[in-house]
Amino acid sequence: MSDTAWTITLLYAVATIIAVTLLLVVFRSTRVGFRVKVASRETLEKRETYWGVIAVSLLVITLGATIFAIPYGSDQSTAGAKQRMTIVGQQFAWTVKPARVKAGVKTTIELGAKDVNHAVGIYDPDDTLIKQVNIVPGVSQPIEMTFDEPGRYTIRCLEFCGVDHHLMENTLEVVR
Amino acid sequence: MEGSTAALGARGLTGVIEEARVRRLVLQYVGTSTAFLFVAGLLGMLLRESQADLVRIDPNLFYAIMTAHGLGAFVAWAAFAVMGISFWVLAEVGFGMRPLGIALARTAYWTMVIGVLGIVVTTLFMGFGASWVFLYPLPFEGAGEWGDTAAGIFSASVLLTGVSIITWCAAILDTVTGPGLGSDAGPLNRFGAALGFGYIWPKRFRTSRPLPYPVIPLAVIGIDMIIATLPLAALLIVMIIQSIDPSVTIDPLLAKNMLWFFGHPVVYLLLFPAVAIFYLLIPRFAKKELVAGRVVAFAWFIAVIVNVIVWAHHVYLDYPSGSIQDTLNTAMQPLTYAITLPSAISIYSLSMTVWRSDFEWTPAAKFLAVAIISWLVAGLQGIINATIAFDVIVHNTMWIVGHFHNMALLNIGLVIFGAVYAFLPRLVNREWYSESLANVHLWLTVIGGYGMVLPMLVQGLEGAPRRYAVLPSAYDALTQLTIPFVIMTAIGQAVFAFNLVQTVRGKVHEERQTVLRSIGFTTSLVAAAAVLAGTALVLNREGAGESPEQPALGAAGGQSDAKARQLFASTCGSCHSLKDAGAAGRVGPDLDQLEPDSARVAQAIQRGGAGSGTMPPTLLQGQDAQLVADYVAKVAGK
Repeated sequence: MSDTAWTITLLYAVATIIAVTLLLVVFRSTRVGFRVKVASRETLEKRETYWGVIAVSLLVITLGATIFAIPYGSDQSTAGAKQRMTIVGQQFAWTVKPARVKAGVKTTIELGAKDVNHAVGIYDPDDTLIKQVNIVPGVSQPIEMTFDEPGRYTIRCLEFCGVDHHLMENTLEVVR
Repeated sequence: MEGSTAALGARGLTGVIEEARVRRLVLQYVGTSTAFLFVAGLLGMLLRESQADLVRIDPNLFYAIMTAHGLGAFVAWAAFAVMGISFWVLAEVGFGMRPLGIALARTAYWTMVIGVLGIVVTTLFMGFGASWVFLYPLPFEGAGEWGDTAAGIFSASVLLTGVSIITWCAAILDTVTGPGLGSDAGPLNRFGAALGFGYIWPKRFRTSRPLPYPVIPLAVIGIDMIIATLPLAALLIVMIIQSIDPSVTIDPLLAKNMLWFFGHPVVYLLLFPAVAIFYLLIPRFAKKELVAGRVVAFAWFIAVIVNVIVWAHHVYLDYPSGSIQDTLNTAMQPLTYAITLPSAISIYSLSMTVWRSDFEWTPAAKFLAVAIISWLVAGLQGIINATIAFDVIVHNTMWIVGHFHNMALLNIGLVIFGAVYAFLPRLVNREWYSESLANVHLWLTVIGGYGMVLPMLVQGLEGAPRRYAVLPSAYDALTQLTIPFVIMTAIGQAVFAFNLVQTVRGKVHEERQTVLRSIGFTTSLVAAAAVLAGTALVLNREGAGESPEQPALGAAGGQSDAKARQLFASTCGSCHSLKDAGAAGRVGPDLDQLEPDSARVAQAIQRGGAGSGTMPPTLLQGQDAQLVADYVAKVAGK
């Protein structure tokens, strides 16, 4: 799994365990003999407002923490890129040129789709998904990335494109 | 709200249809959608079994079934079921239907049935396999598997389901602004009142009684689905025209946005009516009113607006240069967060309604309680999907498939079942045949469902692509682990079907005997399924070990190579590059670069390619084709 996938797993597991535990506590509270001192409706409605404020705050915090880590923006600038390559998809093959690039160098990849929607999914030598981008036919889509490790990377199609979609695979050699 | 259905008859004077007709209508919707559930479920089971290599089906059939399963389970079962149940929810809170509403609801029913049948025919019998999101222009680039006619009929069928949804919205809006509302203001004001504005501006949107909460989500989705479906209808009409006159086309990126402009709200066509069911039934089981105040009304006020402007989170990974798509996508993250508020507030309201109540744990109540848990479990996944920085990893992977099944089956699905268990006795005027079978249904669905969903989520985090007829072998172990759970889910639905049929047939309710019978029946079925699945897995593993695939190399000797080289140069070289044959075509993929194996080349020759160059099928045949395939596999990249 990629670092991002691990982050997702951890955050999601923690949030889910807390949430499910709270709900189970709520459901357990209906056992006969446990029903003592129920808060008044007015109190519960007031608490609903508090919960609304808490929910909004949590969302705003999450937004602030993640909105700057988006893949947009820098993609359009090719400044500082030391090598260029093209990856073009068509039913049902990828054409990768050149098929060998250098590791640790900022790379501009010009993506293209000849016929239908495709998505390029780049898997590193350990078969971990490190990058994916959708490609709309007839539109130019340059992205920028750096291949950190040398080795054989796999390129798979990640947007459904027809009968042999799952066979649409190619490789890319990254060398020092 | 108690006794409100009894009051329905009394409202006959004000133009409200008597309850019996509404009841028949609801039964029609629920019965037909349940039948679609069984078909769509079996198709889904077949898909996963094929991925697990228990029964490997032909790729295009896989994708055609995938198209049918997606639309079948989503639209023909879940959406169709909640569309019908919504009318009953409204009836129970005193919103009877008027003649116009009934007529619209009937029209919506038949349009849906015809549309779904069209989808079944085009996918299962005409091979249309462009997936249930049919991303334009794929329907017209079927690589020879299906023709433009199939694409045209498919588009028309989906258009019918869209027309059905719009007609249903009209029926809902007619009913929520009807006499049940208790408002004598003008039409616009009545819409506002039905949306719950009276909780925010009590003077302006006055009603004779406080608006029942279940009405709000239904009014919201009734308005939103009309707005959301119109652009999709336009796209489908263009596609129908293109299937007749190929010169008519549409921009693919625009088409993608039009699709998702519908594709997001349609998810809430499932969720919002489910929330209405929660709002109605949870207080009933807790024997008190829903704990809710103005905040819920505010949340729905946000929902009715934001719901129709969050679509672009489905295209987070489309950001071509020179378009405004990236700006649009960035704006979608906060908007998508905002749309989680109705869920966050509603879950609070429902929890606090249950909190320390004298809760009646009937089977229906248990279904709803587990559904609330799933709502939260799947909703938190939704926040991850809404976050662009996380979405870049999970987009287009099995994670999304897992999220979707978590939401649609284990939240919405359980709400539908819960509603059926709660409402059916009133609808058919009979008690359930067996409550214990209902519990068996619940637990098989929950355990089977999560056993099915969790591996999908994990596979997605590990980068498994979605919509693959054959997954890369690294994911096989988890896929095979899923199978017993898939079968368990299916058995759960079989138990449901049995219970349903017995109930409708009016079988006598012999709970004690049934307990024994059902326990024996179920355990033996589960055991049989587990054994079956286990054996199949073992056999499958051994089978795979016995015959490792050998790349077939060409008949030895330079002579055949020479012939193949010549064949290649004359037939393939104008489009493909292959150094060994001195070919440098640039239309199709560079074969030195692609290094395909022999089977892949043979397939391409036999089937042809599609795309801009359009490689025609069977350029070479028989021995020649095999010769060239073996030759290309041997020399490519050398």
